[in-house]
Amino acid sequence: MYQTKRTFVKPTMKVSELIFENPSVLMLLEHFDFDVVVRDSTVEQLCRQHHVNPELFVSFCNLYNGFAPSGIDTFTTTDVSTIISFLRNTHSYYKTDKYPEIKEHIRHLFQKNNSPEIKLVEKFFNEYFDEVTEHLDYEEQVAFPSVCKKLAIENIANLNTAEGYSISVYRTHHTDIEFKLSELKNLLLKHIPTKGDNIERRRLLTSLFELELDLSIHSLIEESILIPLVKKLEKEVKRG
Amino acid sequence: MDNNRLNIGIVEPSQLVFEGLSGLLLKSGQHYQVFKIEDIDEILASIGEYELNLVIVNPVQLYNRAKVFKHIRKSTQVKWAALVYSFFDTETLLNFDDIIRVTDTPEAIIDTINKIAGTDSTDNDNAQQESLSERETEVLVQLVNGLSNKEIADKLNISIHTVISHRKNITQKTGIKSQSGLTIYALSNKVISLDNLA
Repeated sequence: MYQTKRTFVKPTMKVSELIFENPSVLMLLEHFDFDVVVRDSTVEQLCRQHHVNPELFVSFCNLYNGFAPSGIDTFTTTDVSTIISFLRNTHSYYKTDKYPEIKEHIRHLFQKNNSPEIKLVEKFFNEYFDEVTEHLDYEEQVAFPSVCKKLAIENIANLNTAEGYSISVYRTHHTDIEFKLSELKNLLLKHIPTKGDNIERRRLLTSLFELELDLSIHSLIEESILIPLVKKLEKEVKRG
Repeated sequence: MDNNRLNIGIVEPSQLVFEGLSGLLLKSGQHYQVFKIEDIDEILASIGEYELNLVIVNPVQLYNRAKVFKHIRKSTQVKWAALVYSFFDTETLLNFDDIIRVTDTPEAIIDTINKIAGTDSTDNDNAQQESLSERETEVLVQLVNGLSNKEIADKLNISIHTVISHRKNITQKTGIKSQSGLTIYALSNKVISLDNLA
């Protein structure tokens, strides 16, 4: 989303500096449930204060700076709990913040350009949102509880419906969700003619780009960190 | 050109990754020849000079240069693979015929390369043009009307296989796959009018 210097994050760096360099890191703080006012804390200090493994924060932060997932070997069962609560926060950000914001942008766009295409964009987005909600529910009701059960973590939602999850289901959902989003961007950028709606359209597109970045990191965390980590820990549990 | 031999150009800023990948390709037992290309601007010259069949590019190189890259793609026949070790948006990756990830096993990488190099190029060449062909437009209209592949095949008197191939091209050219997305596309481009919509 933002142009960054692609700094490789280390635990000794100041969080405020990381944010000045890459404002997307603000999103990371929110998903971790950290306060926005970070003062002069380093990554390590801030994480200790919130009982989060600094290496986990570093790993996620580096995703936002454009690096591949790392650190899985050193993560533990405690970190799985943190990851799951991080992902739950991400979900609530989508549901209560980002998607309503996008709907609002579409509504404003329609006020300027009341063409049938924009009306259909609204419909397209609503259908897309239903699909995403369904996937998020699948994660919260099936995938996460199943992970918790396997690793004997106390599950916050305490659901008994856990029947396992599959990485291929994850991947298919994620690919669908990401492709639909890119369809929407294509339509708005290449096809639907403007009608004095440049500003509203730019706002909508910017919002969609932000969502896209967050979603892509969300899938990376699930597919490339959470799932391999759970597999690794499962083996250790079995070995006793 | 020798049919079995494959000339591969690699555009990768990291010396380490370049050495790793080229070492792997050279040791693979396949008839590969590997050439290092410094950056996007060198690609065209290198393709001519080394008679390249395939170019592997780290998509980082496309940053701010997507237009240049599209231009190069259009003006040559070579195949393109993305070498990926951080994430890129779908749109960037759609510029390539396939993707090689640094986490892939050597076997998977060789498979990908052979798959790209072995495929028939005629399909992709057509897809380079942005606008839909007459036949693709016909298929589009039927899709928008909610017909299945089978129904479209019957109606236009073509095989299901052809319908699927048209659909693939439509998606490649427009970046749109879903029925509702295609409806908006068709409306915007005046392929259909509101009255056509059931």
